[in-house]
Amino acid sequence: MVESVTADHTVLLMFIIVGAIFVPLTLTASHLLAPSKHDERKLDTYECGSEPIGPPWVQFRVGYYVYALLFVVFDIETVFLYPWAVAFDRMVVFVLAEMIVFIAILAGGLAYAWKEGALRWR
Amino acid sequence: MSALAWFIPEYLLLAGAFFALFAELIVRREGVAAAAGALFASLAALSALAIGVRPAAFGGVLELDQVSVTVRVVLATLSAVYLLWLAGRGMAPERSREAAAFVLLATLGGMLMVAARDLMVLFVSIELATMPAYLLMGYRRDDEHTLEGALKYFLLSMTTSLVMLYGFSFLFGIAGSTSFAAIAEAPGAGLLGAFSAVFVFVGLLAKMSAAPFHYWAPDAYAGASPASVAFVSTVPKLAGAAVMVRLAVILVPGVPALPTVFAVASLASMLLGNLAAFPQSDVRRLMAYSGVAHTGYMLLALSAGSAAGNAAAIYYTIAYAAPSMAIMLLAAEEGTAVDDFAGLAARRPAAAWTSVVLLLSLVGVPPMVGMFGKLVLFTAALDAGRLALVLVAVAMSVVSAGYYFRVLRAAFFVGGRAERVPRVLPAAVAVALLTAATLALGVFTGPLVRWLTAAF
Repeated sequence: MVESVTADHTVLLMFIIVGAIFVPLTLTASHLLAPSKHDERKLDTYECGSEPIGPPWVQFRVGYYVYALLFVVFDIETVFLYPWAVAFDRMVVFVLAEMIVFIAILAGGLAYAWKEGALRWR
Repeated sequence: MSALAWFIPEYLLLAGAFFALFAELIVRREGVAAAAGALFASLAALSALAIGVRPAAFGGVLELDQVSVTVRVVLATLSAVYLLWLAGRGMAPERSREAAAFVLLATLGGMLMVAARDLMVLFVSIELATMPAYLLMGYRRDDEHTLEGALKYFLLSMTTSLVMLYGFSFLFGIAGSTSFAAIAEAPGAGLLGAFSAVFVFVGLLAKMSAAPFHYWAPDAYAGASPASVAFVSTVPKLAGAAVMVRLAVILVPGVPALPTVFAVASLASMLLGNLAAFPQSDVRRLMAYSGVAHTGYMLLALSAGSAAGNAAAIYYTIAYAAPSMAIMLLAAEEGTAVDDFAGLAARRPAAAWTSVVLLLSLVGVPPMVGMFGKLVLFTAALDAGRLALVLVAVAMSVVSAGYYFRVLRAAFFVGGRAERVPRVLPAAVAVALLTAATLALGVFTGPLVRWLTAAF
Protein backbone atom coordinates (compact mmCIF):
# COMPACT_ATOMS: atom_id res chain seq x y z
CA MET A 1 0.00 0.00 0.00
CA VAL A 2 2.67 2.47 1.06
CA GLU A 3 4.83 1.55 -1.94
CA SER A 4 1.99 2.06 -4.42
CA VAL A 5 1.27 5.43 -2.88
CA THR A 6 4.91 6.51 -3.19
CA ALA A 7 4.99 5.21 -6.78
CA ASP A 8 1.95 7.35 -7.63
CA HIS A 9 3.57 10.34 -6.02
CA THR A 10 6.81 9.79 -7.93
CA VAL A 11 4.86 10.32 -11.14
CA LEU A 12 3.33 13.48 -9.67
CA LEU A 13 6.75 14.75 -8.60
CA MET A 14 8.19 14.07 -12.07
CA PHE A 15 5.27 15.90 -13.64
CA ILE A 16 5.88 18.94 -11.41
CA ILE A 17 9.61 18.95 -12.19
CA VAL A 18 9.09 18.56 -15.95
CA GLY A 19 6.44 21.25 -15.87
CA ALA A 20 8.64 23.61 -13.87
CA ILE A 21 11.46 23.20 -16.40
CA PHE A 22 9.47 22.94 -19.64
CA VAL A 23 7.24 25.99 -19.31
CA PRO A 24 9.97 28.59 -18.57
CA LEU A 25 12.19 26.90 -21.17
CA THR A 26 9.67 27.25 -24.02
CA LEU A 27 8.69 30.78 -23.00
CA THR A 28 12.34 31.88 -22.83
CA ALA A 29 13.10 30.17 -26.16
CA SER A 30 10.20 31.90 -27.93
CA HIS A 31 11.21 35.20 -26.37
CA LEU A 32 14.76 34.83 -27.65
CA LEU A 33 14.00 33.32 -31.07
CA ALA A 34 10.87 35.17 -32.21
CA PRO A 35 11.14 38.60 -33.79
CA SER A 36 9.64 41.28 -31.53
CA LYS A 37 7.91 44.23 -33.23
CA HIS A 38 5.56 46.21 -30.99
CA ASP A 39 2.99 48.66 -32.19
CA GLU A 40 0.11 50.36 -30.46
CA ARG A 41 -2.50 47.81 -31.52
CA LYS A 42 -0.38 44.92 -30.27
CA LEU A 43 0.23 46.50 -26.86
CA ASP A 44 -3.48 47.06 -26.33
CA THR A 45 -5.67 44.93 -24.04
CA TYR A 46 -6.70 42.30 -26.57
CA GLU A 47 -3.94 40.63 -28.57
CA CYS A 48 -6.47 39.48 -31.16
CA GLY A 49 -6.77 43.06 -32.34
CA SER A 50 -10.20 44.00 -31.07
CA GLU A 51 -10.32 47.55 -29.86
CA PRO A 52 -11.70 47.85 -26.30
CA ILE A 53 -14.74 50.14 -26.01
CA GLY A 54 -14.85 52.26 -22.86
CA PRO A 55 -13.34 51.52 -19.44
CA PRO A 56 -13.82 48.07 -17.83
CA TRP A 57 -15.39 49.51 -14.63
CA VAL A 58 -18.87 50.05 -16.02
CA GLN A 59 -21.99 49.70 -13.90
CA PHE A 60 -24.09 46.64 -14.54
CA ARG A 61 -27.85 46.82 -14.61
CA VAL A 62 -29.08 46.14 -11.09
CA GLY A 63 -31.97 44.26 -12.70
CA TYR A 64 -29.67 41.29 -13.18
CA TYR A 65 -29.89 40.42 -9.49
CA VAL A 66 -33.36 38.99 -9.96
CA TYR A 67 -31.99 36.59 -12.54
CA ALA A 68 -29.09 35.74 -10.25
CA LEU A 69 -31.53 34.95 -7.44
CA LEU A 70 -33.79 32.85 -9.62
CA PHE A 71 -30.74 31.05 -10.95
CA VAL A 72 -29.64 30.20 -7.41
CA VAL A 73 -33.13 28.91 -6.63
CA PHE A 74 -33.06 26.49 -9.53
CA ASP A 75 -29.44 25.62 -8.89
CA ILE A 76 -30.26 24.49 -5.36
CA GLU A 77 -33.28 22.63 -6.68
CA THR A 78 -31.02 20.68 -9.06
CA VAL A 79 -28.58 19.92 -6.27
CA PHE A 80 -31.41 18.37 -4.26
CA LEU A 81 -33.05 16.64 -7.20
CA TYR A 82 -29.94 14.77 -8.37
CA PRO A 83 -29.33 12.52 -5.34
CA TRP A 84 -33.08 12.07 -5.03
CA ALA A 85 -33.38 10.93 -8.63
CA VAL A 86 -30.39 8.60 -8.35
CA ALA A 87 -31.86 6.81 -5.33
CA PHE A 88 -35.43 7.06 -6.59
CA ASP A 89 -36.05 3.32 -7.11
CA ARG A 90 -35.08 2.53 -3.51
CA MET A 91 -37.37 5.01 -1.77
CA VAL A 92 -40.86 4.94 -0.34
CA VAL A 93 -43.78 7.05 -1.52
CA PHE A 94 -43.23 9.45 1.39
CA VAL A 95 -40.00 10.70 -0.14
CA LEU A 96 -41.81 11.36 -3.42
CA ALA A 97 -44.37 13.41 -1.51
CA GLU A 98 -41.56 15.32 0.23
CA MET A 99 -39.96 16.21 -3.09
CA ILE A 100 -43.32 17.30 -4.48
CA VAL A 101 -43.73 19.62 -1.47
CA PHE A 102 -40.22 20.98 -2.03
CA ILE A 103 -40.85 21.64 -5.72
CA ALA A 104 -44.25 23.14 -4.92
CA ILE A 105 -42.62 25.64 -2.53
CA LEU A 106 -40.11 26.64 -5.19
CA ALA A 107 -42.82 26.82 -7.84
CA GLY A 108 -44.86 29.05 -5.52
CA GLY A 109 -41.87 31.38 -5.15
CA LEU A 110 -41.36 31.48 -8.90
CA ALA A 111 -45.05 32.08 -9.50
CA TYR A 112 -44.94 35.03 -7.09
CA ALA A 113 -41.82 36.46 -8.77
CA TRP A 114 -43.58 36.08 -12.12
CA LYS A 115 -46.76 37.73 -10.87
CA GLU A 116 -44.72 40.63 -9.48
CA GLY A 117 -43.19 41.16 -12.89
CA ALA A 118 -39.68 40.15 -11.86
CA LEU A 119 -39.29 38.23 -15.11
CA ARG A 120 -40.17 41.19 -17.29
CA TRP A 121 -37.15 43.02 -18.67
CA ARG A 122 -37.38 46.72 -17.95
CA MET B 1 -51.29 10.15 15.70
CA SER B 2 -48.14 9.86 13.64
CA ALA B 3 -45.18 12.16 14.15
CA LEU B 4 -46.05 13.95 10.90
CA ALA B 5 -49.23 15.28 12.48
CA TRP B 6 -47.37 16.82 15.44
CA PHE B 7 -46.04 19.51 13.20
CA ILE B 8 -49.36 20.70 11.83
CA PRO B 9 -48.73 24.21 13.29
CA GLU B 10 -45.59 24.45 11.16
CA TYR B 11 -47.47 23.34 8.03
CA LEU B 12 -50.15 25.89 8.79
CA LEU B 13 -47.55 28.68 9.00
CA LEU B 14 -45.91 27.60 5.75
CA ALA B 15 -49.28 27.36 4.00
CA GLY B 16 -50.23 30.72 5.52
CA ALA B 17 -47.06 32.36 4.21
CA PHE B 18 -47.83 31.19 0.68
CA PHE B 19 -51.48 32.04 0.99
CA ALA B 20 -50.58 35.54 2.19
CA LEU B 21 -48.50 36.14 -0.94
CA PHE B 22 -51.42 35.36 -3.23
CA ALA B 23 -54.38 36.34 -1.03
CA GLU B 24 -54.60 39.80 -2.56
CA LEU B 25 -55.19 38.21 -5.96
CA ILE B 26 -58.47 36.83 -4.60
CA VAL B 27 -59.59 39.85 -2.60
CA ARG B 28 -58.02 42.99 -3.98
CA ARG B 29 -57.59 44.98 -0.78
CA GLU B 30 -54.50 46.00 1.15
CA GLY B 31 -54.36 44.14 4.47
CA VAL B 32 -56.16 40.99 3.37
CA ALA B 33 -52.90 39.04 3.31
CA ALA B 34 -52.05 40.04 6.88
CA ALA B 35 -55.55 39.17 8.05
CA ALA B 36 -55.30 35.74 6.42
CA GLY B 37 -51.87 35.35 7.99
CA ALA B 38 -53.29 36.22 11.41
CA LEU B 39 -55.92 33.51 10.91
CA PHE B 40 -53.30 30.92 9.97
CA ALA B 41 -51.04 31.91 12.88
CA SER B 42 -53.86 31.69 15.40
CA LEU B 43 -54.83 28.27 14.02
CA ALA B 44 -51.18 27.29 14.42
CA ALA B 45 -51.20 28.48 18.03
CA LEU B 46 -54.37 26.54 18.81
CA SER B 47 -53.13 23.36 17.15
CA ALA B 48 -49.77 23.66 18.90
CA LEU B 49 -51.65 23.91 22.17
CA ALA B 50 -53.80 20.90 21.29
CA ILE B 51 -50.84 18.77 20.20
CA GLY B 52 -48.97 19.41 23.43
CA VAL B 53 -45.92 17.48 24.59
CA ARG B 54 -44.66 14.76 22.25
CA PRO B 55 -41.56 12.55 22.26
CA ALA B 56 -38.66 12.86 19.81
CA ALA B 57 -39.64 12.48 16.15
CA PHE B 58 -37.93 12.06 12.77
CA GLY B 59 -34.91 10.20 14.09
CA GLY B 60 -34.68 12.43 17.15
CA VAL B 61 -34.08 15.75 15.37
CA LEU B 62 -37.28 17.38 16.64
CA GLU B 63 -38.93 17.02 20.02
CA LEU B 64 -41.82 18.78 21.70
CA ASP B 65 -41.14 19.09 25.41
CA GLN B 66 -42.77 21.58 27.79
CA VAL B 67 -40.47 24.41 26.72
CA SER B 68 -41.05 23.77 23.01
CA VAL B 69 -44.81 23.64 23.47
CA THR B 70 -44.97 26.81 25.56
CA VAL B 71 -42.68 28.80 23.31
CA ARG B 72 -44.26 27.67 20.05
CA VAL B 73 -47.74 28.55 21.33
CA VAL B 74 -46.49 31.97 22.45
CA LEU B 75 -44.61 32.56 19.19
CA ALA B 76 -47.63 31.73 17.05
CA THR B 77 -49.90 33.82 19.26
CA LEU B 78 -47.56 36.82 19.16
CA SER B 79 -47.27 36.65 15.39
CA ALA B 80 -51.06 36.28 15.07
CA VAL B 81 -51.55 39.42 17.15
CA TYR B 82 -48.85 41.21 15.21
CA LEU B 83 -50.46 40.27 11.89
CA LEU B 84 -53.80 41.48 13.21
CA TRP B 85 -52.20 44.86 13.83
CA LEU B 86 -50.60 44.74 10.41
CA ALA B 87 -53.95 43.98 8.80
CA GLY B 88 -55.26 47.21 10.26
CA ARG B 89 -52.33 49.59 9.83
CA GLY B 90 -50.19 48.08 7.11
CA MET B 91 -46.54 48.86 6.46
CA ALA B 92 -47.00 52.19 4.69
CA PRO B 93 -45.65 53.29 2.31
CA GLU B 94 -44.88 49.70 1.24
CA ARG B 95 -47.55 47.04 0.80
CA SER B 96 -47.97 44.60 3.66
CA ARG B 97 -48.50 41.22 2.00
CA GLU B 98 -44.83 40.32 1.80
CA ALA B 99 -44.34 41.46 5.38
CA ALA B 100 -47.12 39.06 6.38
CA ALA B 101 -45.39 36.21 4.57
CA PHE B 102 -42.03 37.08 6.17
CA VAL B 103 -43.59 37.20 9.61
CA LEU B 104 -45.11 33.75 9.16
CA LEU B 105 -41.86 32.29 7.82
CA ALA B 106 -39.86 33.79 10.69
CA THR B 107 -42.34 32.37 13.16
CA LEU B 108 -42.04 28.99 11.46
CA GLY B 109 -38.27 29.21 11.88
CA GLY B 110 -38.67 30.17 15.52
CA MET B 111 -40.98 27.24 16.19
CA LEU B 112 -38.54 24.82 14.59
CA MET B 113 -35.71 26.40 16.61
CA VAL B 114 -37.36 25.51 19.89
CA ALA B 115 -38.23 21.99 18.72
CA ALA B 116 -34.78 21.22 17.28
CA ARG B 117 -32.64 18.57 18.96
CA ASP B 118 -29.90 18.53 16.37
CA LEU B 119 -27.28 21.14 15.49
CA MET B 120 -27.98 20.98 11.75
CA VAL B 121 -31.73 21.37 12.15
CA LEU B 122 -31.12 24.10 14.71
CA PHE B 123 -28.87 26.07 12.39
CA VAL B 124 -31.25 25.82 9.44
CA SER B 125 -34.14 26.92 11.67
CA ILE B 126 -32.15 29.87 13.02
CA GLU B 127 -31.46 30.97 9.47
CA LEU B 128 -35.12 30.51 8.56
CA ALA B 129 -36.07 32.69 11.52
CA THR B 130 -33.53 35.45 10.81
CA MET B 131 -33.63 35.70 6.99
CA PRO B 132 -37.18 37.12 6.95
CA ALA B 133 -36.12 39.38 9.83
CA TYR B 134 -33.44 41.02 7.64
CA LEU B 135 -36.04 41.62 4.96
CA LEU B 136 -38.48 43.09 7.47
CA MET B 137 -35.80 45.42 8.82
CA GLY B 138 -35.10 46.67 5.32
CA TYR B 139 -38.73 46.79 4.31
CA ARG B 140 -38.79 50.48 3.39
CA ARG B 141 -36.74 50.07 0.26
CA ASP B 142 -36.47 53.72 -0.73
CA ASP B 143 -35.16 54.92 2.64
CA GLU B 144 -31.38 55.16 2.98
CA HIS B 145 -31.39 54.82 6.78
CA THR B 146 -33.54 51.72 6.59
CA LEU B 147 -31.20 50.13 4.09
CA GLU B 148 -28.15 51.08 6.16
CA GLY B 149 -29.68 49.60 9.31
CA ALA B 150 -30.82 46.47 7.52
CA LEU B 151 -27.41 45.96 5.92
CA LYS B 152 -25.71 46.35 9.31
CA TYR B 153 -28.11 43.86 10.81
CA PHE B 154 -27.62 41.45 7.93
CA LEU B 155 -23.81 41.56 7.92
CA LEU B 156 -23.46 41.28 11.69
CA SER B 157 -26.05 38.57 11.96
CA MET B 158 -24.34 36.62 9.20
CA THR B 159 -20.99 37.01 10.95
CA THR B 160 -22.42 35.80 14.22
CA SER B 161 -24.03 32.87 12.41
CA LEU B 162 -20.58 31.91 11.16
CA VAL B 163 -19.05 32.26 14.63
CA MET B 164 -21.79 30.03 15.99
CA LEU B 165 -21.35 27.55 13.17
CA TYR B 166 -17.64 27.41 13.91
CA GLY B 167 -18.52 26.45 17.48
CA PHE B 168 -21.00 23.86 16.19
CA SER B 169 -18.27 22.28 14.07
CA PHE B 170 -16.12 21.73 17.16
CA LEU B 171 -19.07 20.32 19.09
CA PHE B 172 -19.56 17.88 16.24
CA GLY B 173 -15.87 17.05 16.36
CA ILE B 174 -16.00 16.32 20.10
CA ALA B 175 -19.22 14.32 20.12
CA GLY B 176 -19.01 12.71 16.68
CA SER B 177 -22.67 13.54 16.19
CA THR B 178 -24.83 16.59 15.74
CA SER B 179 -27.60 15.39 18.04
CA PHE B 180 -28.03 17.22 21.36
CA ALA B 181 -28.26 13.94 23.26
CA ALA B 182 -24.87 12.77 21.95
CA ILE B 183 -23.29 16.17 22.67
CA ALA B 184 -24.66 16.15 26.23
CA GLU B 185 -23.22 12.68 26.83
CA ALA B 186 -19.86 13.38 25.23
CA PRO B 187 -17.01 13.41 27.75
CA GLY B 188 -16.00 16.89 28.92
CA ALA B 189 -13.47 17.92 26.34
CA GLY B 190 -11.61 20.40 28.55
CA LEU B 191 -10.17 23.35 26.71
CA LEU B 192 -11.60 22.38 23.32
CA GLY B 193 -15.06 21.99 24.83
CA ALA B 194 -14.81 25.42 26.45
CA PHE B 195 -13.55 26.87 23.17
CA SER B 196 -16.48 25.51 21.18
CA ALA B 197 -19.05 26.48 23.82
CA VAL B 198 -17.72 30.05 23.92
CA PHE B 199 -17.98 30.31 20.13
CA VAL B 200 -21.53 28.97 20.14
CA PHE B 201 -22.62 31.37 22.85
CA VAL B 202 -20.83 34.40 21.47
CA GLY B 203 -22.82 33.85 18.29
CA LEU B 204 -26.06 33.48 20.20
CA LEU B 205 -25.36 36.42 22.53
CA ALA B 206 -24.73 38.63 19.53
CA LYS B 207 -27.99 37.52 17.95
CA MET B 208 -29.78 38.24 21.22
CA SER B 209 -28.06 41.66 21.34
CA ALA B 210 -26.42 41.05 24.71
CA ALA B 211 -23.49 43.25 25.73
CA PRO B 212 -20.67 43.31 24.67
CA PHE B 213 -22.13 42.23 21.30
CA HIS B 214 -25.08 44.60 21.27
CA TYR B 215 -23.69 47.45 19.17
CA TRP B 216 -25.62 46.56 16.02
CA ALA B 217 -29.05 46.67 17.62
CA PRO B 218 -29.64 50.42 18.16
CA ASP B 219 -28.51 51.35 14.65
CA ALA B 220 -30.44 48.55 12.99
CA TYR B 221 -33.61 49.32 14.95
CA ALA B 222 -33.35 53.07 14.47
CA GLY B 223 -33.22 52.64 10.71
CA ALA B 224 -36.11 50.24 10.42
CA SER B 225 -39.78 51.00 10.46
CA PRO B 226 -41.08 50.70 14.04
CA ALA B 227 -43.65 48.11 12.94
CA SER B 228 -40.79 45.86 11.77
CA VAL B 229 -38.91 46.41 15.02
CA ALA B 230 -42.00 45.36 16.98
CA PHE B 231 -41.75 41.92 15.43
CA VAL B 232 -37.99 41.49 15.04
CA SER B 233 -37.19 42.56 18.61
CA THR B 234 -39.64 40.11 20.17
CA VAL B 235 -40.50 36.91 18.31
CA PRO B 236 -37.03 35.80 17.14
CA LYS B 237 -35.66 36.90 20.52
CA LEU B 238 -38.00 34.57 22.39
CA ALA B 239 -37.02 31.66 20.17
CA GLY B 240 -33.37 32.61 20.65
CA ALA B 241 -33.76 32.64 24.42
CA ALA B 242 -35.24 29.14 24.33
CA VAL B 243 -32.34 27.93 22.19
CA MET B 244 -29.80 29.51 24.55
CA VAL B 245 -31.40 27.74 27.49
CA ARG B 246 -31.45 24.45 25.62
CA LEU B 247 -27.80 24.68 24.60
CA ALA B 248 -26.82 25.79 28.10
CA VAL B 249 -28.47 22.67 29.50
CA ILE B 250 -26.43 20.37 27.29
CA LEU B 251 -23.15 22.31 27.41
CA VAL B 252 -22.87 23.44 31.05
CA PRO B 253 -22.06 19.94 32.44
CA GLY B 254 -19.01 19.72 30.15
CA VAL B 255 -17.98 23.38 30.54
CA PRO B 256 -18.49 24.41 34.18
CA ALA B 257 -17.28 27.96 33.47
CA LEU B 258 -20.30 28.79 31.27
CA PRO B 259 -22.55 30.14 34.07
CA THR B 260 -19.78 32.62 34.91
CA VAL B 261 -19.70 33.69 31.26
CA PHE B 262 -23.46 34.26 31.39
CA ALA B 263 -23.09 36.19 34.65
CA VAL B 264 -20.48 38.52 33.14
CA ALA B 265 -22.54 39.06 29.98
CA SER B 266 -25.58 39.64 32.19
CA LEU B 267 -23.81 42.28 34.28
CA ALA B 268 -22.49 44.05 31.19
CA SER B 269 -25.89 43.97 29.46
CA MET B 270 -27.83 45.22 32.47
CA LEU B 271 -25.45 48.11 33.13
CA LEU B 272 -24.88 49.11 29.54
CA GLY B 273 -28.45 48.64 28.35
CA ASN B 274 -30.06 50.59 31.15
CA LEU B 275 -27.52 53.41 31.29
CA ALA B 276 -27.27 53.86 27.52
CA ALA B 277 -31.05 53.98 27.18
CA PHE B 278 -31.16 57.22 29.16
CA PRO B 279 -30.04 59.81 26.63
CA GLN B 280 -32.01 58.30 23.73
CA SER B 281 -34.63 60.49 22.12
CA ASP B 282 -35.83 57.87 19.63
CA VAL B 283 -38.20 55.23 20.96
CA ARG B 284 -36.62 52.58 18.72
CA ARG B 285 -33.15 53.27 20.12
CA LEU B 286 -34.54 53.42 23.62
CA MET B 287 -36.24 50.06 23.16
CA ALA B 288 -33.08 48.62 21.55
CA TYR B 289 -31.06 49.46 24.66
CA SER B 290 -33.91 48.33 26.86
CA GLY B 291 -33.82 45.06 24.90
CA VAL B 292 -30.11 44.76 25.73
CA ALA B 293 -30.97 45.27 29.39
CA HIS B 294 -33.75 42.68 29.33
CA THR B 295 -31.46 40.17 27.66
CA GLY B 296 -29.17 40.87 30.62
CA TYR B 297 -31.92 39.91 33.07
CA MET B 298 -32.59 36.77 31.05
CA LEU B 299 -28.89 35.89 31.22
CA LEU B 300 -28.97 36.41 34.97
CA ALA B 301 -31.52 33.60 35.20
CA LEU B 302 -29.41 31.48 32.87
CA SER B 303 -26.32 32.05 35.02
CA ALA B 304 -28.11 30.29 37.89
CA GLY B 305 -27.49 27.05 36.01
CA SER B 306 -30.51 25.43 37.64
CA ALA B 307 -33.81 24.07 36.33
CA ALA B 308 -35.62 26.95 38.04
CA GLY B 309 -33.24 29.43 36.43
CA ASN B 310 -33.75 27.97 32.97
CA ALA B 311 -37.53 28.09 33.35
CA ALA B 312 -37.29 31.65 34.68
CA ALA B 313 -35.20 32.73 31.68
CA ILE B 314 -37.89 31.54 29.27
CA TYR B 315 -40.75 32.91 31.35
CA TYR B 316 -39.03 36.26 31.64
CA THR B 317 -38.51 36.53 27.89
CA ILE B 318 -42.21 35.79 27.34
CA ALA B 319 -43.07 38.43 29.94
CA TYR B 320 -40.83 40.90 28.12
CA ALA B 321 -42.05 40.13 24.60
CA ALA B 322 -45.72 41.10 24.93
CA PRO B 323 -45.34 44.64 26.35
CA SER B 324 -42.28 45.34 24.24
CA MET B 325 -44.14 44.46 21.03
CA ALA B 326 -47.12 46.57 22.08
CA ILE B 327 -44.96 49.63 22.84
CA MET B 328 -43.30 49.42 19.45
CA LEU B 329 -46.70 49.07 17.78
CA LEU B 330 -47.84 52.23 19.58
CA ALA B 331 -44.66 53.94 18.39
CA ALA B 332 -45.48 52.79 14.87
CA GLU B 333 -48.83 54.56 15.20
CA GLU B 334 -47.68 57.70 17.01
CA GLY B 335 -44.18 58.36 15.72
CA THR B 336 -40.75 57.16 16.69
CA ALA B 337 -39.41 60.11 18.66
CA VAL B 338 -40.11 60.26 22.39
CA ASP B 339 -41.48 63.75 21.69
CA ASP B 340 -44.06 62.23 19.34
CA PHE B 341 -45.74 60.79 22.42
CA ALA B 342 -46.33 64.33 23.69
CA GLY B 343 -49.99 65.03 24.18
CA LEU B 344 -50.94 61.37 23.80
CA ALA B 345 -53.10 61.46 26.94
CA ALA B 346 -55.13 64.30 25.47
CA ARG B 347 -55.69 62.89 22.00
CA ARG B 348 -55.76 59.14 22.76
CA PRO B 349 -56.38 58.55 26.48
CA ALA B 350 -56.77 54.78 26.00
CA ALA B 351 -53.45 54.50 24.21
CA ALA B 352 -51.77 56.64 26.88
CA TRP B 353 -53.04 54.45 29.72
CA THR B 354 -52.11 51.36 27.71
CA SER B 355 -48.55 52.62 27.48
CA VAL B 356 -48.57 53.14 31.27
CA VAL B 357 -49.42 49.45 31.77
CA LEU B 358 -46.84 48.31 29.21
CA LEU B 359 -43.97 50.47 30.44
CA LEU B 360 -44.66 49.71 34.10
CA SER B 361 -44.54 46.02 33.20
CA LEU B 362 -41.13 46.55 31.59
CA VAL B 363 -39.95 48.33 34.74
CA GLY B 364 -41.32 45.45 36.82
CA VAL B 365 -44.10 47.07 38.81
CA PRO B 366 -46.85 44.83 40.20
CA PRO B 367 -49.38 43.59 39.16
CA MET B 368 -48.03 43.48 35.60
CA VAL B 369 -46.40 40.35 34.21
CA GLY B 370 -42.93 41.90 34.13
CA MET B 371 -42.87 41.97 37.92
CA PHE B 372 -43.69 38.25 38.13
CA GLY B 373 -41.03 37.54 35.52
CA LYS B 374 -38.45 39.41 37.59
CA LEU B 375 -39.65 37.68 40.75
CA VAL B 376 -39.07 34.13 39.47
CA LEU B 377 -35.83 35.28 37.89
CA PHE B 378 -34.43 36.86 41.06
CA THR B 379 -35.56 33.89 43.16
CA ALA B 380 -33.74 31.46 40.90
CA ALA B 381 -30.62 33.63 40.84
CA LEU B 382 -30.64 34.05 44.64
CA ASP B 383 -30.97 30.28 45.10
CA ALA B 384 -27.85 29.93 42.97
CA GLY B 385 -26.02 32.45 45.19
CA ARG B 386 -25.84 35.34 42.75
CA LEU B 387 -26.70 37.97 45.37
CA ALA B 388 -24.48 40.72 43.98
CA LEU B 389 -25.89 40.37 40.48
CA VAL B 390 -29.46 40.39 41.78
CA LEU B 391 -28.71 43.60 43.67
CA VAL B 392 -27.38 45.16 40.46
CA ALA B 393 -30.47 43.94 38.61
CA VAL B 394 -32.82 45.46 41.18
CA ALA B 395 -30.92 48.74 41.11
CA MET B 396 -30.99 48.76 37.33
CA SER B 397 -34.74 48.07 37.30
CA VAL B 398 -35.18 51.23 39.34
CA VAL B 399 -32.88 53.09 36.96
CA SER B 400 -34.88 51.80 33.99
CA ALA B 401 -37.98 53.51 35.39
CA GLY B 402 -36.19 56.76 34.61
CA TYR B 403 -36.13 56.35 30.87
CA TYR B 404 -39.45 54.54 30.55
CA PHE B 405 -41.10 57.35 32.50
CA ARG B 406 -39.68 59.88 30.06
CA VAL B 407 -42.09 58.44 27.49
CA LEU B 408 -44.94 58.64 30.01
CA ARG B 409 -43.98 62.18 31.00
CA ALA B 410 -44.21 63.19 27.35
CA ALA B 411 -47.55 61.41 27.00
CA PHE B 412 -49.19 62.94 30.06
CA PHE B 413 -47.49 66.20 31.00
CA VAL B 414 -46.31 67.68 27.74
CA GLY B 415 -48.67 69.25 25.26
CA GLY B 416 -48.45 67.98 21.73
CA ARG B 417 -50.29 67.90 18.46
CA ALA B 418 -54.03 67.47 18.73
CA GLU B 419 -54.90 65.55 15.57
CA ARG B 420 -54.94 61.81 16.12
CA VAL B 421 -54.27 58.88 13.82
CA PRO B 422 -57.48 57.39 12.43
CA ARG B 423 -59.05 54.67 14.53
CA VAL B 424 -58.43 51.18 13.14
CA LEU B 425 -60.26 48.36 14.88
CA PRO B 426 -57.89 45.39 14.22
CA ALA B 427 -54.87 47.42 15.36
CA ALA B 428 -56.67 48.54 18.51
CA VAL B 429 -57.69 44.93 19.26
CA ALA B 430 -54.09 43.76 18.76
CA VAL B 431 -52.65 46.31 21.19
CA ALA B 432 -55.49 45.62 23.63
CA LEU B 433 -54.77 41.87 23.52
CA LEU B 434 -51.09 42.43 24.25
CA THR B 435 -51.97 44.79 27.09
CA ALA B 436 -54.48 42.32 28.51
CA ALA B 437 -51.78 39.62 28.38
CA THR B 438 -49.40 41.98 30.17
CA LEU B 439 -51.97 42.53 32.89
CA ALA B 440 -53.29 39.01 33.25
CA LEU B 441 -50.42 36.67 32.42
CA GLY B 442 -48.95 37.15 35.90
CA VAL B 443 -51.81 35.10 37.34
CA PHE B 444 -50.49 32.02 35.57
CA THR B 445 -46.88 32.51 36.68
CA GLY B 446 -46.80 29.66 39.19
CA PRO B 447 -48.31 26.91 37.02
CA LEU B 448 -46.44 28.07 33.91
CA VAL B 449 -43.04 28.16 35.62
CA ARG B 450 -43.67 24.74 37.24
CA TRP B 451 -44.66 23.36 33.83
CA LEU B 452 -41.52 24.85 32.24
CA THR B 453 -39.31 23.55 35.05
CA ALA B 454 -40.55 20.02 34.35
CA ALA B 455 -38.68 20.09 31.03
CA PHE B 456 -35.26 20.31 32.69
